[in-house]
Amino acid sequence: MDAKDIMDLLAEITLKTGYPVPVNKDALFKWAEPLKLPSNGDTYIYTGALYQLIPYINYTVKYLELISELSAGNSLINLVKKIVSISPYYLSSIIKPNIKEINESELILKNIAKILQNHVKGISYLYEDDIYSGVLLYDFGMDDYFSIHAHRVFEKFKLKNVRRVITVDPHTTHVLREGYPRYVDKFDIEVINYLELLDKANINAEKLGNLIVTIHDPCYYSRYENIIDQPRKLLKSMGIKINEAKRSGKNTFCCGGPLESFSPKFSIDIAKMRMNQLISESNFIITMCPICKANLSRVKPSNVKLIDIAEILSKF
Amino acid sequence: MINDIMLFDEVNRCMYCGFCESVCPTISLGPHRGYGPRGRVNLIKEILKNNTITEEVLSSIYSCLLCNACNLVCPAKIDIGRAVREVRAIINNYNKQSIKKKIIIRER
Repeated sequence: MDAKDIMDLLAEITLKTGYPVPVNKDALFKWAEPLKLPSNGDTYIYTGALYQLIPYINYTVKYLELISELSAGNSLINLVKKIVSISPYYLSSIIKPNIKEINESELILKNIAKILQNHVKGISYLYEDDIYSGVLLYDFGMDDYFSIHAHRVFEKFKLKNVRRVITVDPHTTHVLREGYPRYVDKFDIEVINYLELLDKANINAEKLGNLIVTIHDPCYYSRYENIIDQPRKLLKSMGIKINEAKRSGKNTFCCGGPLESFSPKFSIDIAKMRMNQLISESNFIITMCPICKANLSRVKPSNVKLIDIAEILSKF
Repeated sequence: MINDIMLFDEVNRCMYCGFCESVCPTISLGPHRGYGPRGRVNLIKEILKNNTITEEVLSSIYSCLLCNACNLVCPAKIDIGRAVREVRAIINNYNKQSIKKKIIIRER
């Protein structure tokens, strides 16, 4: 499959709808409604919709692969491009992601928000303004598109008087700290990651018994944002023992997820290499990124537990 | 955006030692060394110096995960992950103006 087609489509859809794949926008912030988080304040949880989007991205990429494999692949891709240029909303009726994946993503976000509600004062949520960050555009080097999208996000922040955002994944954290200040003049929003915030909150944690885990550090936390010690301190405060993989912390090994849309074969081969490194230490693996979790789950042996750190921290 | 000269100066510090290849997740999967950091760094030089953008160059640049494991072991401390992202932005600009080329990630 031509990666250029994928990039063009994702960029076009992002510009037209605000999201990289066809989605029902109203469904993306529904997870927060039962929690009754305030909608006004100056410190907001900003998910950048990445956890919510992963099931949609997975489905869309598989769909595009399938049509490119058909004999008329190129002409079908061109047809999809045409549909997107007229109205990308037509596609949202075709894209039907796995409900189980959606529920898992929503549960992780609920857990994160509950922990923050319980331990940090004055947290609000952006609801319909919790829109996509544009991180894929930045990673693909589509800086013209990224700049337009980033300005749009910043305008939303300004309208809500956002002073500080609490991010929940490595990619959104990084793009807000590196990409936004480069392309958005006077970008003055403080960006703090929820693991950094919880680490500073000095929580008196409940002990969880004899749990032994291994941590899969996401590359963007460990090598770009230096978020390595915080999750370890939080887990250890709960009495959890960490068996470190040979490649962990700064030396972590990628899950292969960023190549999923360009080469599923590369992506899965890298995930297998990483899974073997992790299970040589423990059958209980902790992830901290929706892309890592999705990609490693594709190669997970049935006796291995793979869970997001938020699920453990929710026992705080 | 950082300019082409700054990017060239960054990648031009490569001494071809190849330490970066030992930690790269993609090099063992691709058909040649262009699928590893040393190859990518030196292709970036080619892109900036001679405007060389073939389909093979594109597959090398876009097969990078941006995981930056290579940066950690590089004795010259070249910020390879960021350099690859920057050159993608440059290629996107070139590609808009010229004939569109395919980007196919090939397996070994």
